[in-house]
Amino acid sequence: MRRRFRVFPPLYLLFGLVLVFMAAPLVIVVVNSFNKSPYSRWPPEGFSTEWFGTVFHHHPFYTGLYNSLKVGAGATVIALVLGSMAAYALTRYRIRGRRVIETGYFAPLTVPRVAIGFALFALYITWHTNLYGTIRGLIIAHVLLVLPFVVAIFVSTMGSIDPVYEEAARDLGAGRVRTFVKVTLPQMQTGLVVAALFAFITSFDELEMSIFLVRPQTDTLPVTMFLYLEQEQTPALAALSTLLIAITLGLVLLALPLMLRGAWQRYLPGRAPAATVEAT
Amino acid sequence: MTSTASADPAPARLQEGARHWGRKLFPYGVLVPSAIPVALFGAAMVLLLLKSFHEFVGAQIASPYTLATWRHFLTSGFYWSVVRTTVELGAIVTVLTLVLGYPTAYVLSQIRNRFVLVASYVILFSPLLVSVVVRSYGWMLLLGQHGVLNAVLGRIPGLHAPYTLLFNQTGVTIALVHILLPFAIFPILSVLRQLPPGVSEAAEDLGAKPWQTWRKVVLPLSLPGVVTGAQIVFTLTISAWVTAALLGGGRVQLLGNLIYSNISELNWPLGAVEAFVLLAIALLALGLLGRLGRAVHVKES
Repeated sequence: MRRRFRVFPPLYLLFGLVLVFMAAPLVIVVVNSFNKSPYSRWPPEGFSTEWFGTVFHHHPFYTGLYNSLKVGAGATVIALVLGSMAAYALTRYRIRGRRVIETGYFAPLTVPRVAIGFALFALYITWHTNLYGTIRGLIIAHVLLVLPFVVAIFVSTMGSIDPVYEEAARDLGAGRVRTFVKVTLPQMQTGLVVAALFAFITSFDELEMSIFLVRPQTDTLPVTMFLYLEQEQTPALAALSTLLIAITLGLVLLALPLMLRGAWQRYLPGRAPAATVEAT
Repeated sequence: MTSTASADPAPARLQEGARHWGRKLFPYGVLVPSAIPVALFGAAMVLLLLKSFHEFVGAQIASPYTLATWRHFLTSGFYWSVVRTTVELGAIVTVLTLVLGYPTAYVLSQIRNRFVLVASYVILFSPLLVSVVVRSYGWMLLLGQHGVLNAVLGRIPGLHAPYTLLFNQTGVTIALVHILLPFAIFPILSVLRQLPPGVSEAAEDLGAKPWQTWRKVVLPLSLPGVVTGAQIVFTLTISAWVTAALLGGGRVQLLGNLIYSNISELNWPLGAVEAFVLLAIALLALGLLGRLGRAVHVKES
């Protein structure tokens, strides 16, 4: 095994503390969901599961969950379709003004989400679009938000696929669309999974922008939870959070075999997309 | 018109020309659908900018264009104090996440045991999958007057617990460091992982101590990751108004909190001014940090 840099031993201690720091608030939320005290006092006054009952009987949570799932699914599908088309054009063709186009796609990333939410809210109302307070309006906003990431992931994925197979398909008489569906898409499985997960999670957790675009009947789950938390701080919210954390953890465990294989690591950090664009 | 050109059968030439242009324009056509949401975003931002040049009088937006709202914002001590809180919080959280994030990323890049590595990844990055509301709520439970931390500190002799950690800037800062730390670790880790191991081997073979190797070789090479991390964390902090609302208890006002309350008062012009001031701070910080990164990089190499 090759030696890399050496680690100063106290750094391991700091590393351990950081792990504790990162886990602490989530662990405490789970523990508190069984706390009998309605004021979330510590140490807990007793063990209780009644808060889970409260969650199941609180109607707005259902509406919120339903809306969040609809928006998440819609935004993910649309972002994947639009993003793959954009990445296809950017990696397979010489595009005039590529810099400008890329800047356009990435612009929503530099603008604070509050500002995007407010701007879209103003647009929806002023243009009488019937989009304010609708699921459609939320989906459009979320597509805008996740598109930069999806395009970046797809550009990086397609950039690493040898176009030789696509050329072969074209030479054998397949049209552009057929080639894309039958040859390009099957080669970008990992990219598709990563992009879909990323888009869905981002949409499902989005609050800072969405809150400007919802009406009570279209509140997403984070909005419902935020408004609930502003009103009361009973462990009911902890119970709901525990359920969400359990689902998330389940998904992470499902993805663990994939993680152990290590194929995902190239999608993880940094600014890979820009470099790959230049390389292609 | 030459005779050779007119000899061509016109319809065939037309068809050939159409096919040629079809081929040329095809990639742009493919880009059009994804350009629609981007165009909508652009239109929304322009609309918002126009709104900022109106005035809110008598509970409605007056129609003539004016600089009054901008003047009102820029000449008021209150708004400047909010700008200061926003920038200050952004700077503090950025520094803290980098100070904690760099060593974390460094250790993470050195872990060889696959299971320890995956467990660390899960603990460090799975909070990203949990809603900001849940994480803020967790910190409310930890930092409250009757929270876990004060219960623990109360048992230590010599300390005067309970401490006021919630509903002030301390609480907001702690929660934001937690929420944004993964965004600082990500880019630093990515740069460290890409460094060829030979770099530090060479330095050590030439007699450098581990500290010197880090200071003179590894740190300068990993600065691009640090700068990217700073850019991400700062821009996300200055717009993190939800966490400020929940953990600040109304005492920590960021520009985002003002925007939120202005909209509920229907005062769009003032909200629009605040949104663009926030955007200006974000762009300024991105530019300055990028410049700083390049300057340091050039000096070191």
